[in-house]
Amino acid sequence: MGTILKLNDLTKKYGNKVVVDNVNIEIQEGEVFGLLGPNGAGKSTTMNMVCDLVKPTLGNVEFFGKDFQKNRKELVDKLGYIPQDLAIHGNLKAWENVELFTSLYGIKGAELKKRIDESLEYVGLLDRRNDFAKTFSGGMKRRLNIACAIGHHPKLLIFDEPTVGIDPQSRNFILEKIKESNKNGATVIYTSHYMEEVEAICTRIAIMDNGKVIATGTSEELKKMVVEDTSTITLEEVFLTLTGKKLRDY
Amino acid sequence: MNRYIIKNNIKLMCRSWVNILLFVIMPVILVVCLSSAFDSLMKKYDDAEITAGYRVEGDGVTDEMIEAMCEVAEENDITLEEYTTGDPEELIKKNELSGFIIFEEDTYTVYEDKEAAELGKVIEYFVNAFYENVTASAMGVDTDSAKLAVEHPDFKPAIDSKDYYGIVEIIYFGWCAIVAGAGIFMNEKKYKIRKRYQVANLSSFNEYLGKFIPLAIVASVGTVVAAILTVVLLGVHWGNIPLSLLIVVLSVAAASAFGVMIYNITDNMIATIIICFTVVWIMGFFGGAFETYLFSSHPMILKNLSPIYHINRALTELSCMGSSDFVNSSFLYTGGIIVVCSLLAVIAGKIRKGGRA
Repeated sequence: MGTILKLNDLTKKYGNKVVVDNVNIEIQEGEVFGLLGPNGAGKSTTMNMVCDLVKPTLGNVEFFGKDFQKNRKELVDKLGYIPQDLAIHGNLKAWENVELFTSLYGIKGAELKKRIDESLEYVGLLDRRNDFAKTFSGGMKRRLNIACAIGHHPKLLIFDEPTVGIDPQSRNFILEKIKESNKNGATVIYTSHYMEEVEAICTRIAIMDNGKVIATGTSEELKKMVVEDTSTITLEEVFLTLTGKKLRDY
Repeated sequence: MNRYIIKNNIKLMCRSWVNILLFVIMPVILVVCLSSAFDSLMKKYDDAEITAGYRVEGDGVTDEMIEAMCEVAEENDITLEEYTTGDPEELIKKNELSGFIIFEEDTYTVYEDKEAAELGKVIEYFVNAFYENVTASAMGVDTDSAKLAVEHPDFKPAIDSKDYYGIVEIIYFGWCAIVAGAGIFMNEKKYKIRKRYQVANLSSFNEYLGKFIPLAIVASVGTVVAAILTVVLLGVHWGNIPLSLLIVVLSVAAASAFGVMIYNITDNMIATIIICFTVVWIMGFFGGAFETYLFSSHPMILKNLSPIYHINRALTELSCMGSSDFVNSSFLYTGGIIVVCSLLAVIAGKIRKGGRA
């Protein structure tokens, strides 16, 4: 297993405000890597820099051993990004949404049709392929949001809070699918506020606060940073101990 | 070029009832309203009979030619009546003349009826054309002075209000093409769909084509359907149909390129619509969208600067005369706008991407 993604001294400043401060993370192939942090910790900015949506002020992102910014064309189809926002068109049918976003990676014709059905089946929406996205429930829209990002078979999947505002069944379905993707060889980066989700699916976790990575390790390793007997503490308690209980968005 | 973006954006635009309302129904309603409102105004010029008074003073060359001039005038539906005495302005009022000409030794003066100045211009044009023909004839140029060809738009088959407004309002609405894509472009921004484009490394050029081509196609189809409706429901004449169709489609394509360029620069749909509508209103104001270009008193330089003037003039002349000298300039304007706006839109898109989302 080699390194799939390496963040080297990644820094982002807006004026004098440092949003991401010298972040160094290395993610191995086959990992499900959880990124935790309170609001404003810099998780989303970090993920945006990984996807080259935001230009770093300092540092760089290495993807498969190559500078991602300099090798976008070669590496772009290895990355799948599932945004926190429902980035789908309500007035397009489910299959049309998947077609639109999968075609961005140069897939066309019969292969594209195959990938559309494959992606919709994967998220359990094949029977609803001809329905408009605007008629879907919140959970179905979340699943369609995922289908739109996996049609090109990426090696690295970035999930940015994919379970916000959905029912437990849909949440469970999505988490199962993430595990399944990982078993099938995809490396996953998962950001969320739900500690139990992160604990359930992530093999390694990083906690960010004030733009810095303050702890990295498995769930057990993080718990051991706080107490000796890990059975007496939850990941949420570890998180609160490391980041504090003060409100961040008041 | 990603045909799937184009295809799906066309679907999105076609699924919006606002587009159907704006491009198909609204112009037809406006054409009905404006053509009936201005029908009587246009009628005045349709039925105009020109009777001009004249007087020859001194021993100029006109004295020998006045008989020939009266004959040629008659052939061109102008009646010349001699008044040996009296004040020209009084005579115009008293005898309901369209104008009065005083021929002196080597000059002439045309007095116009202040309430029908355009007819005075016709008289002036006729006299000028007559002298030019006579001069050319005297210089041995092969010209038949007895059959004087008076080339003046007012002598050509006149366009009626229904045809005029039927054409110019369709063009005006076509210039509002950006509205057809407004909802989709706003949603792309609102729902962060552009993030997916950026993650997939979609080039600024392809992103532009994904906006411009669907917009131009949908707005063109809407405009052409509206034009067909004006033919079927109101009997509007479009003259040379293939050429008119080409001008309409190029006009809408130019409007689309202009709209996308403004959107790529501002990155704000409300601002884009305000800017586009303001610019189009100004171009329409000088281009005859609100009053007939033949009778407007705007400076010619401002009319010439308005692409809508060239398009309107080409189409209305094609409608009533079957040909127009403005066809080439309308092609030049629309083609130029498409190229320049596309270039600027791609550059603006690249700059925006440089700063990232």
